[in-house]
Amino acid sequence: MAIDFDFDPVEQAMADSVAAFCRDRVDAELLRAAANEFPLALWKDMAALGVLELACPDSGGSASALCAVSEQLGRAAFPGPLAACVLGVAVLDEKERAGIIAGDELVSLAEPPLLPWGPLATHFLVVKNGVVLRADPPTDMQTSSTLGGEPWGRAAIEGNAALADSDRGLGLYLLALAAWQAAAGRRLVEMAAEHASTRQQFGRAIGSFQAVAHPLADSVIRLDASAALARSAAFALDTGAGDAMVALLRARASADRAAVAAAQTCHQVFGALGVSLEGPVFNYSRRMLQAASLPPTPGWTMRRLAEAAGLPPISLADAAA
Amino acid sequence: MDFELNPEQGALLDAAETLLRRSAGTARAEQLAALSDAGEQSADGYDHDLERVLNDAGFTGVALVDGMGPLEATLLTSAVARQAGCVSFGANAIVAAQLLGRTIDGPVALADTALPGPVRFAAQAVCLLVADGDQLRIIEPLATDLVDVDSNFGYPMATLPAELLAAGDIVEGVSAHRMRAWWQLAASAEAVGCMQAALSFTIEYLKNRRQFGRSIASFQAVQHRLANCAVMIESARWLCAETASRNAPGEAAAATATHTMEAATLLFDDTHQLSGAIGFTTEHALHHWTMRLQTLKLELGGAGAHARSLARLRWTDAED
Amino acid sequence: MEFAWSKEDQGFRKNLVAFLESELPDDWEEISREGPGSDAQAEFSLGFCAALAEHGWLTPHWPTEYGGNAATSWSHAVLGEELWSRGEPRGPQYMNVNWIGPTIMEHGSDEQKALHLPPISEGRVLWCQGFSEPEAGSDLVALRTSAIADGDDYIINGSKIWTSYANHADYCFLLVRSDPESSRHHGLSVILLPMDSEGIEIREIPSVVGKRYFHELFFTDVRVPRSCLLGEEGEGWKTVSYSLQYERVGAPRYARATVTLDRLAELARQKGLLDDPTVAEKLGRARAACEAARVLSYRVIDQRAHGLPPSPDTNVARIAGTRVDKLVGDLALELTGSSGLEAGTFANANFKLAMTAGVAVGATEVQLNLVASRMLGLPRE
Repeated sequence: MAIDFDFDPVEQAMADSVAAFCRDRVDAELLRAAANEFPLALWKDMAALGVLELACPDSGGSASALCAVSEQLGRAAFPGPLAACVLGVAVLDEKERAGIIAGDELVSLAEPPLLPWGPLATHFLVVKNGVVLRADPPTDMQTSSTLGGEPWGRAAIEGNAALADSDRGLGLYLLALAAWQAAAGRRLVEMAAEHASTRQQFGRAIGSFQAVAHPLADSVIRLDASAALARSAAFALDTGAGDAMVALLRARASADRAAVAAAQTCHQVFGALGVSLEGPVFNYSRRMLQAASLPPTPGWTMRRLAEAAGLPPISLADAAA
Repeated sequence: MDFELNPEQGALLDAAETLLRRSAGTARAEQLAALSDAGEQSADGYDHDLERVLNDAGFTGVALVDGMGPLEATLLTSAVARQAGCVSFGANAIVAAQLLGRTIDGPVALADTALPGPVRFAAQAVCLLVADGDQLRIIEPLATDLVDVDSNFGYPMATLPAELLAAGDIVEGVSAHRMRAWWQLAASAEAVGCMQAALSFTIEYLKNRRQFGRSIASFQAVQHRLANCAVMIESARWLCAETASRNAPGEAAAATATHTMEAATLLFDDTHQLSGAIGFTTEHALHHWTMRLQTLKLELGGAGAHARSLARLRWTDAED
Repeated sequence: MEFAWSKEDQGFRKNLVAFLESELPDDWEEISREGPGSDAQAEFSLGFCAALAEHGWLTPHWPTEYGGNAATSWSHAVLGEELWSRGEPRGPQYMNVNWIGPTIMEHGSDEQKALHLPPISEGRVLWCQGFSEPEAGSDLVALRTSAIADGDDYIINGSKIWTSYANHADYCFLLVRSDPESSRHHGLSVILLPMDSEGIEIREIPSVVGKRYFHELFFTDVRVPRSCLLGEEGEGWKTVSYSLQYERVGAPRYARATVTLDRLAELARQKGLLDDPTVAEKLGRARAACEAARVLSYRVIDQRAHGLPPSPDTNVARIAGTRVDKLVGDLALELTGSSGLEAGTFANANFKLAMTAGVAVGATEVQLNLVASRMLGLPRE
């Protein structure tokens, strides 16, 4: 038996078109500016490629296709609430999701009182006891700025209406996050390796030092494994496998850990360049770190994995999540 | 505050080193192991001769000597472990001395009713101290016909039957928490000695070992791992000394043990990884220290257990 | 060998804490989160350092002739702990007292000592450090900024990068190449450069760490009198090696990490997370790492107190300190979750500090190299 992680021609074509779009429209300058003002026009053009539509129930769009396009977006560190919008499209009704699919409306998956993308969002969702609920938009929201440069809000909101297809929606949410994260990390490591092969210190390229090369190699191993987990989880979702949710939880947890570790390694390789706002490094690492902290919390992920493994829940804290 | 040894401490450690080089060391450890393997009667791997020599020379009771204290006992504990001495020196010179105000004329075993598993030196011990919740009990004299479990972990150990753990007399006025703190310190001090020896042994080996046309010790990846090990050992070593000199308050002892046992994990992994296959053979002396590191780690539940207990002591109202 | 604080140092700590509790304003914590380079902190530091100096606490370990109380290195350690754990209200001036002043004391002429030491010791002056260049980061001796002798002056050309606090600085401790034929660590000199000299251009590098933190300096025919040369011409590497040893264990970062960790634990307790053994374990490990860094830092102070020359123990201490910063920074993000990413939170401030820990004052990799060669005697490649 062979496991084929390659995408089928349709999925690959979508991925290629997203890749071309990102190559054309996303560069370091844009990413830097996006941290100060979100590029709504760019988001809309991305949506026009049909990316968010993939999450529609009965759209015929596969999870694998979503994985493929999320990878390409991650590779470009494409800004925006991709996963939350995917979730919104998957669980909201036809009328509500139209605006999201068109790229006109954004979704905030909130962890009250924190509302990622709150100031720009039209739709607000929360996760409670593993179910996705719709929440009324906040009436009184304070804005805060974040490490990732994303517009976040603070307000007390509460979920009021349970939404259909919660599990599938959450699954796609996790998938989009995992695929994006692993790819973003991988691209950052590539940039670090390029830097290491040209940057000379002590009379030689710094990449020729084992202390630089080995951690980068370790990062590649971990990130590639995470990417493979995401793809196989997408496959599980598409084939209706019973353990798809577990696979998706694992994929996200794995990708986040690998990406955060890779970000640290790359920052070591780049030295002070990594903390400069002008440089490409922070454009990536800030969004990777932010993605790793998006709801649901790691605790929630771990608890779900423990349940799936038949272990008693060990944390009392996430009872509300 | 002064990190340098004063003249008395210097003389003490020099004298101990002289004695240990004569009566301990890896050659002696091999000898004991061979006797034990050969099933020689009363050859249990425990170095009764070394113990006698240490007791007679007054090293075991050093903490009770005027002008000396648990710090000196701690430094000696590390010294004994560095020379791969298979004796219950830490349990005696640190734990028994502090809890009972005297030392024991024979092997000492330490147990906790909450911790399962074989107990170090249980079959050889003439005195057993048991922590049971808040209570501290002593069984002395102890004479058992316990049989050591078959293990490669560097020390003789035996499983204590439940009725034995429940026996003994309460040690009045001493809480089990104090025992655990001194025990954490003693185990850490032994671990420090094992780690120091394991590292310097490995460094020597790697300097001389050549692969890919050069000394393995000249590769940066190797050097950085060794350097990280050295950093962990240095901090563990000074934490042990500081904690001992402050009479092992519960939180400090837990912090010392947490850090030391984390270091122990790193040292075990790195010294073996870097030494390659030869590191697992009995001809290569490394195992005399590294296998003992595993035991010391596990004896009180591992770095994780120490860390959790530290968190509890520092950030909740749990008692010392 | 013993580990008790002297009565004097215990008394000093008590008095210092009382002073800090009354001197630091209620909004000090908010000010401190902006970082030592911010206008707010730089301004605050001038007043604060002057007040500290009035008590003789800015440079207590300096000789009395230079504005100190000839107290031990230990009292300097107490000072560092209490100030760093409170977010370092000395602002950018911690550099002056930690290593710039000591270096001038060691290598300066009488005129230089008279000119520079009193303002440092009175808390009236700000310095910056001109070391790294675009092509000379970890490999500092690859630097190219030149200072060519011209009569009674030097003319400086070149650039520096990643210079902290440059925009507020009155002086720059500048490492230059004074012998154009030289390479590597030969032919270097230290210039005590007045920042109001003509020909200096400063550009702020926007960074994660905060406003006015990193800068580029451009020198175009900057003319300074020879009297600005610190120590001997061409012997700058010797001078700087002395400084680096102090800088490496100058700021007790563990003191800040310790306080952060206590706050994180309190946060965890409020959320009911302390009952979670995985959280308790992570907190405990981080605490142990703080203690490890502390005791190694004390080891270095002890060597200074004994008048011993700098040893690889400074690199050891630095490595341990970086480990703590990273552990606590990561834990801060993990425990505060998404809110740790919000600008202005204490978790965010600590995370940003942790980001630079591995590369500031010599990358961790360099520190490990030094431990490997100088402490473990491992062969160079």
